[in-house]
Amino acid sequence: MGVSRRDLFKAVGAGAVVSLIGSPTFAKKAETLNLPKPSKGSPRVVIVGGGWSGSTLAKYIKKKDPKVDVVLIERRAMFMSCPVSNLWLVDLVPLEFLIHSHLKPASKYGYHFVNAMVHDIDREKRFVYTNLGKIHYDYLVLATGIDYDYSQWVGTDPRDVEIAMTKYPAAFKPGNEHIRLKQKIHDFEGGNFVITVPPGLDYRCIPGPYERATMVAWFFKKNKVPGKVILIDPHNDPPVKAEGFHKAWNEYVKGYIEYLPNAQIKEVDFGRKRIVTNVGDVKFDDLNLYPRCKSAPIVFKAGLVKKGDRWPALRWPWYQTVEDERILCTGDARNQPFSKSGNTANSEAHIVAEFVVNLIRGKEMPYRPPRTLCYSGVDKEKAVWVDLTYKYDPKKNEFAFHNVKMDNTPSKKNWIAYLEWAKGLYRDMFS
Amino acid sequence: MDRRRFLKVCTAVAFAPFMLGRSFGAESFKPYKKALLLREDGKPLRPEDIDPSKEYIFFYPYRSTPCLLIDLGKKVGPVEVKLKNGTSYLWRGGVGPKGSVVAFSAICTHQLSFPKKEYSLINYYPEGKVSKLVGRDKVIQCCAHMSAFDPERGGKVIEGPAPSPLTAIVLSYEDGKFYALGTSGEEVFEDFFDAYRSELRKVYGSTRIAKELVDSCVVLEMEKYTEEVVRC
Ligand SMILES: Cc1cc2nc3c(=O)[nH]c(=O)nc-3n(C[C@H](O)[C@H](O)[C@H](O)COP(=O)(O)OP(=O)(O)OC[C@H]3O[C@@H](n4cnc5c(N)ncnc54)[C@H](O)[C@@H]3O)c2cc1C
Ligand code: FES
Repeated sequence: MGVSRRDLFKAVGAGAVVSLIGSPTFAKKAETLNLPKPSKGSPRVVIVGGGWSGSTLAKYIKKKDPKVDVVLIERRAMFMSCPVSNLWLVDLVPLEFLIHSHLKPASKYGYHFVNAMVHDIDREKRFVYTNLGKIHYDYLVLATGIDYDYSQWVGTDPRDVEIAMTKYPAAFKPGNEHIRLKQKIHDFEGGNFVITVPPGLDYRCIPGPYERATMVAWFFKKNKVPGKVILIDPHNDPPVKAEGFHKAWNEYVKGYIEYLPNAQIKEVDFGRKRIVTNVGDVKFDDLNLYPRCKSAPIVFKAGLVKKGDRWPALRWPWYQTVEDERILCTGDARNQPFSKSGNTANSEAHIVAEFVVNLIRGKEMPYRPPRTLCYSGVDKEKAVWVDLTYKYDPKKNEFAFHNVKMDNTPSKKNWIAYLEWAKGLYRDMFS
Repeated sequence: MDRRRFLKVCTAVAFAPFMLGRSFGAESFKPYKKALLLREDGKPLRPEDIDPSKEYIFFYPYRSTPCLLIDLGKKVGPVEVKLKNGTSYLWRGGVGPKGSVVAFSAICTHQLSFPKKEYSLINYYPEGKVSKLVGRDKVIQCCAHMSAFDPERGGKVIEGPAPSPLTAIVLSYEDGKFYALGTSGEEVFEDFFDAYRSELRKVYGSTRIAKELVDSCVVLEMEKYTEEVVRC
């Protein structure tokens, strides 16, 4: 593309963006990681993050153009799915359902899988720095998912943030947090098990906390735990699938769940084990604290987020960052307009793979929106779903939900489809 | 194209293996073993055995690859079908006395969902069974991620994330009997065998057996084959 930094600043308008190009913390002596290319002149796309977005992208860029050298860097040794994890928390699917290996698709489609942590990015020289060495890129995709923003409810005192992260993990990132939350649910002997819903719509998986609350209540009921789930929600109703969730709360898990809508959290008092809200204080015996979300730390470190924002500024309808058109942000690392879901991240990555290959070839392509199909369990073997896509208005540079369909009647058929939905996506990424 | 010419083309293709699976002229055809379609009692399937208000399953061209058999009740095709790679081919349409019997591979071209003994998410919606997703009947729909295909138009994608039409199964109707001859369009069999290796081993004992080509196929009602027909 050959756009220099100076051109870029001109393009976005002087002063429009105030951030640093990377940061001065590069490990200057890092060795370059030796990753053979298909041929000497092969362009290289580095993807950071082997979640739903990055895993799909790596495979489909290679499928579309095997001559492109693709490097997928992921800090975790294996993939663990967040979708369907709410069913695993209450023993309705085994762990094997959720975990997958990157090695088969990497060898089958010919991309490099590097199990490493990216700790810095040199945008000028186009290197990413990992704990294993540095890697040069022609294009970089940050598919790094979310981070939690505790500042709103917990404050910024590192002691409080540490308590929140270790004692009351949100478990909206895979791995450690999920395993701990599962232990807590299974160890719970009675009282109030509080689950929070973040405000707004830019948190990961809009129906996720509602599904979790419902399935945990189902588990308490099944095991006759003398306690209940209290769901603290700043919204006036679940933003999606409300009818299906209310049916579950009024019929299937009645007495095991208390729903507190319109509840704005003012303070989380870990010492007294209570949450202060505008509708009264809520005492908790255990807590699953899911705070507001923001983009992953490396996106901030790369200087792609304006001061005061939580998400990188992007050039819609594509995914290039305003700051650097050689860097794209996909999946949950980007902000709205798309809901932060695995299905969205996967379907978007199919389109972005095509876009990246076209970008390398200097070609344009017509815009296509991603799709969001999302199931939620509301009882054992009962689920509901919503399916939608998005419409882009180039004049207003805005997106709107489009072609929204849903089935709010909990059924076994939907449950079967839910599990097959997940298996299909795992097949798409890992086989 | 009449049957005689079609068969001529097939024969020509059989002797030109380098062309297999490619579009040639307007037709695309990949021959497999010619397989007689049978009823459950082992007798040849006749037109009157196929109820237009039902969907049927048989396994072709491999013993583990499921297909849907449908009587659309009226003559359909031929139709030009566009493929993912930008090319298109001429789908022959229905066979049988009315030209209404069609067959498609029941492996979804999106993420390979297929009918299993426990459930089938990919199904035909006969007349009167309206798909909520597309608001019409006479569609094949996969409820895993909501792809809908048009059996009257060569399995074209009507809606949803499927990137390409269903693989068409080429049938012939000879002397009152139905035969499967091969496929048209893009196939997903290799991806299917790779993705379901361990599942197929459990069912068939080995991948080799799962990949055996068949020379006859028993046609079953889907409702009898699977425990749960999932429609959405
Ligand atoms: C409980 C729960 C239920 C959900 N249910 C559904 C559902 O039913 N349907 C649905 O569609 N979605 C659901 N989701 C949402 C879905 O999980 C996310 O939207 C999806 O994971 C987003 O994909 P992603 O690739 O953007 O992020 P992720 O999958 O989180 O992947 C990001 C990856 O980047 C890696 N990474 C980050 N920084 C670095 C770095 N510096 N170096 C190396 N690696 C790095 C991380 O380790 C991570 O693996 C659910 C989520 C949760 C938590
Ligand atoms: S597998 Fe059929 S729609 Fe996805």
